[in-house]
Amino acid sequence: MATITVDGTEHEVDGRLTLFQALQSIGKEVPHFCFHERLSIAGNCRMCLVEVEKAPKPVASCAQPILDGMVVFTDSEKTIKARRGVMEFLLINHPLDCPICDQGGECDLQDQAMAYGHDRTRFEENKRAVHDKEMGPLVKTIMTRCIHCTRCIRFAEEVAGVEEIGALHRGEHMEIATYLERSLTSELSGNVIDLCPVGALTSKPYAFTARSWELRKTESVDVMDAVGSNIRVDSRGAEVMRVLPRLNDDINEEWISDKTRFACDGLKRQRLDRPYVRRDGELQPASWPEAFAAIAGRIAETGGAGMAAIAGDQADCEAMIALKDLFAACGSENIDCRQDGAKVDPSVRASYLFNSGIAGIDEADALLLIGANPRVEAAVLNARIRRRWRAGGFRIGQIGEPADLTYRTDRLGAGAETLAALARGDHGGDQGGGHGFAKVLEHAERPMLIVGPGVLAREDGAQMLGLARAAAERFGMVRDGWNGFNVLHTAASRVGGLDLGFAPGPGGRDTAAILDGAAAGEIGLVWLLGADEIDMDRLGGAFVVYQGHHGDAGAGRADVILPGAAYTEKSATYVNVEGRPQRTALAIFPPGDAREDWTIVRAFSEVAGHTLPYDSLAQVRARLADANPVFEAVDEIVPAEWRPFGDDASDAAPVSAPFRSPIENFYMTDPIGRCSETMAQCTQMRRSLDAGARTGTDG
Amino acid sequence: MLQDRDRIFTNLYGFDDWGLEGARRRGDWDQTAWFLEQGRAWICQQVKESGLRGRGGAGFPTGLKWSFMPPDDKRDGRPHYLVVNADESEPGTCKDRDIMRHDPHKLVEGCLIAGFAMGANTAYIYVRGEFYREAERLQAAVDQAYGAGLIGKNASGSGWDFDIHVHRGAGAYICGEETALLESLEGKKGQPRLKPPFPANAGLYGCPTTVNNVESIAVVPTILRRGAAWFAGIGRDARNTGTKLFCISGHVNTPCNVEEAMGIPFRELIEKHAGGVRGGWDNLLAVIPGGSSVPCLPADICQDLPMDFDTLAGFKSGLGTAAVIVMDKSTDIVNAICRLSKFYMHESCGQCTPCREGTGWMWRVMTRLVRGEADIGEIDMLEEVTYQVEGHTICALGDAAAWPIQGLIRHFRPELERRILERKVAA
Amino acid sequence: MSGPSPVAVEQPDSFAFAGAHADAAEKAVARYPEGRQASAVLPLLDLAQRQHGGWVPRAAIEHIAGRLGMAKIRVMEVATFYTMINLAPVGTFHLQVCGTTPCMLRGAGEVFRAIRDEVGIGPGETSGDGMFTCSEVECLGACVNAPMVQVNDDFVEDLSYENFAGVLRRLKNGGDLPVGSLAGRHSSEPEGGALTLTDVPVPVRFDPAAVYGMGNGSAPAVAAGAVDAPVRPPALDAPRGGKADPLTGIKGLGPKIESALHGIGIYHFDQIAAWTSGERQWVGDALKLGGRIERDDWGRQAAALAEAGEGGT
Repeated sequence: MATITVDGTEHEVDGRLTLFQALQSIGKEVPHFCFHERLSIAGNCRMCLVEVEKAPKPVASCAQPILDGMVVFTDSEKTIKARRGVMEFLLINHPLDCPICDQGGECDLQDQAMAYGHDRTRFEENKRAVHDKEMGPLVKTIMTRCIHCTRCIRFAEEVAGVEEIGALHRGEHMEIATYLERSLTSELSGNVIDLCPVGALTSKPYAFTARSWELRKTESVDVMDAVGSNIRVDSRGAEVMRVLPRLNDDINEEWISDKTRFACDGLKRQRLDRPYVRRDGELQPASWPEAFAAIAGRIAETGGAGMAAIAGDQADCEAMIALKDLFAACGSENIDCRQDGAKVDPSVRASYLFNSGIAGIDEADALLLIGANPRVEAAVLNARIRRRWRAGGFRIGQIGEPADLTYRTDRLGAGAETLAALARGDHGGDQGGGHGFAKVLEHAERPMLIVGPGVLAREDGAQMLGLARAAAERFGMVRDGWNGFNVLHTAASRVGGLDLGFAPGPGGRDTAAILDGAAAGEIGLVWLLGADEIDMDRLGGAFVVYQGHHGDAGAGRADVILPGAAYTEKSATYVNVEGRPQRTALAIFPPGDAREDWTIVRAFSEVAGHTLPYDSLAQVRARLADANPVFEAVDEIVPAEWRPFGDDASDAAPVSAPFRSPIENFYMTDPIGRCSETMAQCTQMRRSLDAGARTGTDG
Repeated sequence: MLQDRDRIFTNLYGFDDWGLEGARRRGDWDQTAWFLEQGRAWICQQVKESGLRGRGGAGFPTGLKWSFMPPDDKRDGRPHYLVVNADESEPGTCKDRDIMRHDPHKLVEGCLIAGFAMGANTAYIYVRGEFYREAERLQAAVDQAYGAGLIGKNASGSGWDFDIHVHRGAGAYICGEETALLESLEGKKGQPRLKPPFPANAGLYGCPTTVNNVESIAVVPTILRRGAAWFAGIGRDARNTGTKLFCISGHVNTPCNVEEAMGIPFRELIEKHAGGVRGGWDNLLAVIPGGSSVPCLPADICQDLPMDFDTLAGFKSGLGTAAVIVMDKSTDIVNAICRLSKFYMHESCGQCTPCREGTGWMWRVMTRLVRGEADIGEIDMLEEVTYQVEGHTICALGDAAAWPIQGLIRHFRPELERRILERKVAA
Repeated sequence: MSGPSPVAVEQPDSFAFAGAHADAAEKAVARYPEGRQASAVLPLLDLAQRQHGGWVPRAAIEHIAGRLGMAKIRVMEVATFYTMINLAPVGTFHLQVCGTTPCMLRGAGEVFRAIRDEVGIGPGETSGDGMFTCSEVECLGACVNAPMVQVNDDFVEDLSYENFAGVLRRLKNGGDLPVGSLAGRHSSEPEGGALTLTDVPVPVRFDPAAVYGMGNGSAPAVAAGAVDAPVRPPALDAPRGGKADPLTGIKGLGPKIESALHGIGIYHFDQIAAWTSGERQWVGDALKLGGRIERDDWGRQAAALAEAGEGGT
């Protein structure tokens, strides 16, 4: 602790802070542009100057270490004069185009000019004009507005791990640009829009569509991956205009991925807004009662054992519990929420959670990636791994296909053999550095591993899971107060589905068995709850009910379509990869006749003669808590008990193929992304950059 | 006037052999190892006692600066570096150039002694890129010193290993700022760093580093050979000691470089060495006494003005690099200062707001003032802008851009007003 | 006015160091510690420019980035920051005219006029035959030989309209570039011949015993403190003209010290300004002032006050 005197009052502050942080901690707001607490200190905007006794010049508080006994004046004439001076310099070459600037209304420069700006200019010269720069389909640039704070440069280099933005030229000609005006190749690039304190970098898809004060702001949770990033959905009328991050230090801090931010235009296209029933081979518009009648008729034929349900990656917990209860009432145990066939053990919660918690990455001191590519599977989580790596003392071993993860890894091997060797403690046969890495894990105090979704979905997934568990136990990853065994999912629905038991009951079929059964004619009805990523050809002659929001693969195969709500259109529970239940909120209403998903199941249950015993959201949620108490602790993590899981007795030869990520294209992993024009542009951009890099024609 | 026997740079003009043989004839590389045998602290103490202040412009006591480097018992395993600032770019200044091309062994030997005194086994000499021939010459001298065993392993038989690398810049005045120089040497843009940390704690590659001007380093061997008292005995007082290279440019009859005693009166300096003011003493208008960054002084102050750090600071100017720019009465003083404003705008690195935006603004107002295209009130506004820049930037370039204009307004406001009024009358 | 340098539209497909430049690049990279190869970016850009005829193509930037393990944008930042890196072709002779004040005062304008008249180009322009490019550059550090021009690697100094026009004509005719002063000076000595360094004695061999009172090996006693021995400054019996200067005008000097100074015969600013370090030491000891005289720099303060006429005598 240190004592500083601020504006005549003594304060005890943490001596490790910078002066800026200390002033913030005692409630003194210091104006600033370049400083950002998650980026390195640049000290270039000079807006945070404060007068410090005995210092000959005002000091930049963001870069000033606390000195005991410091006497600081945040509102002295000298301080105010310095800030007014800096503000004037920032404004002389800044255009007066606030009325047509998308940053208007949420602009740091605008706000701080209210406090420190002059009401007229003394600058009689011509203002500087700067050519706009191309930065790809997401980030629009109006570079004349740039105040050169370099936040975007620092973000790209430090957080995103792509050194692609820089400041070219010097002096008043300094300009922010990417190399040869190429697009950023980061999955997190949109965050530079939030970071830009002025309107130099704005959202290209959102450009000129709305003013910030016209928007209704709804706090919600993202479902484009399993991270559960906290978001704010900004809507106007019946339209989601944009998605922004919401601060949550334990999950996404203040970043979101480009898919989370920009896929929202997909919400407006290819929507299922009324029920359909297939008649004479064609899907035809139908009423709810007609659709329900068609399904009920089929169920009567198949009976419980002949029906099955698969929940997709964005299914919410309320809908899943309702569907599970409906199927149970019909006498079917054939339900599964693992459309990719992940071989996690639904009965052991620790087998499918990111047990250390996302924030646990900060505590870890060694990491083993087992077939995981967090950069595309959980981009925001990957940024945390990168930050931990940058802090030093954090070796990362990787088993799987080579990939640029934005940090350096020790590549230990390609697949099962390497993992098995490591799990056995037999390092002799390892290629390139495996032995060394076992030592790293042995010596680490809080080692962790991450098993990727591609590994779990393999045929030998259970065996690999068992090996991963063995490795975790061998290297002391699970001990008092620390569980470094982590599974990474890409499906937002996955953990919640497993927690509430949307998995085959005794004698029930899992996804593979359902598909086999359908192909063999043993399963006569398959209810797809937003499941689009299964092989529809394997459904054979089964009667397919598709409940969901987009006209994607599932709807194309369906016999009956029940139009549901997307995540922005319902209040629904999702449990993230850590096992943290969180709730979305209704930002806009579902289109047309579409309804919140649990209400659809509830309504059908009456038609089917198995009326579900809940009529309100509160009652469904009570039912969820009844199914698993973890649902009571919304926004919190209930640690999972460590018990044996995985197949460690199998003699079967493991699959020889290398571990690989299931994600081929980061931007299109779900129906919303696949309908998004913006995501299509990103896909196109990335392909052309990759092609260029391969041929080398453009360097 | 300083006697030739008390001059350090006895081959300043290059009439003698620049190479090792000539250097030895002039007394260089004479028992260098003896100084190293006396230890780091002893060398630092001698330099402190000599009163040597940095010759690069800021005038910080050189021995004191060296003593900031971690002593032997506090080393943490990181290498120490000596970095020599040969990025001579301050307008009016051309002294280090002569050292490098005509007396390079003084610098090379100085590097060994200074490097040893700060516990460094490696020195980088950062030469401005435009000094291509000078860097060639310096490299040749370094190669000679390696060849003769004077540097390298067991340098000069001292037991100390010492390497010297010559590194050329590529055109950026700001790299004369020590932390910008370090950034540049690390392969980045030359943008000054925030301080703290200071280079003595975290300099080149994050290691303890001291950056010294060429002249500061090159005088050290002679100071040690003749004793600190000899050096300290030259000059007006204990804070302004020794000999100094002066660069006399502008409106004198015979511009030149010359080594003189610290504190030599201005008139004596230019009349003895530079043939006096063009058109006679009474034709003097103003002087920039220490390179472009220091405010100009009008003729009436200059006659007996002792040319040293503290006297000139007392007149709100500075000795700077001792680059004396003389302007006679034919000078368009506003344009002369305006050209300096353009220089600073061109050389601003662009990193921090007041300098990036302020240097351009100041230059633009100055160009209007040259023509009188302004209101009288804009003189005060311009002065305010200079104070808005000064003291608010990361490095001293902002101050350096502000001071010449402040000096102009302080001493030549009537000239600025005259132009404005004349233009208004004409209109 | 000066803006960012242009970037060539036509770019070669590839670049690699070759021949002597490859060797030089190798040596340049080796000058820096392991892991710090980025330090070689300026040397490599310079070598690339020399190899590629005076400018750095994009392919070279990418080659250097790969070679040094740097991001391309970082190399591009560097290449656009430093004025000596050209990103577009320049003439065979790059006439870099110093336009900064010391050269301006001595006729840089005449040099530009000579270039305009002889080659027909101004700053930022290249002659149609590709022989000359003219640039206005900032101070090149040859101010006592102003005005001057850097032509490629060499300085041409002490220029006038006539002599530089002659240089340009000579270059156009395939002649050599004259290097250095065109006014007959050897280097930076005054025109007409050096006035100093005409009587340099042969240096005596360094003798530790003579200078430091000791021979090889014995550690010297470190003398601390003042250089001069304390000595009493000259005193006046009474103030000149019967009127003492208001010595309290010196910061750090109060009425009590003022009367003590009167007691030792010090009444005027010029007296204090003239003290030697030994005399300051003596006064400091006599009046028990500690280091105050030096710390507050009475000498300088007094000199300024005396100059400003505060003394009234």
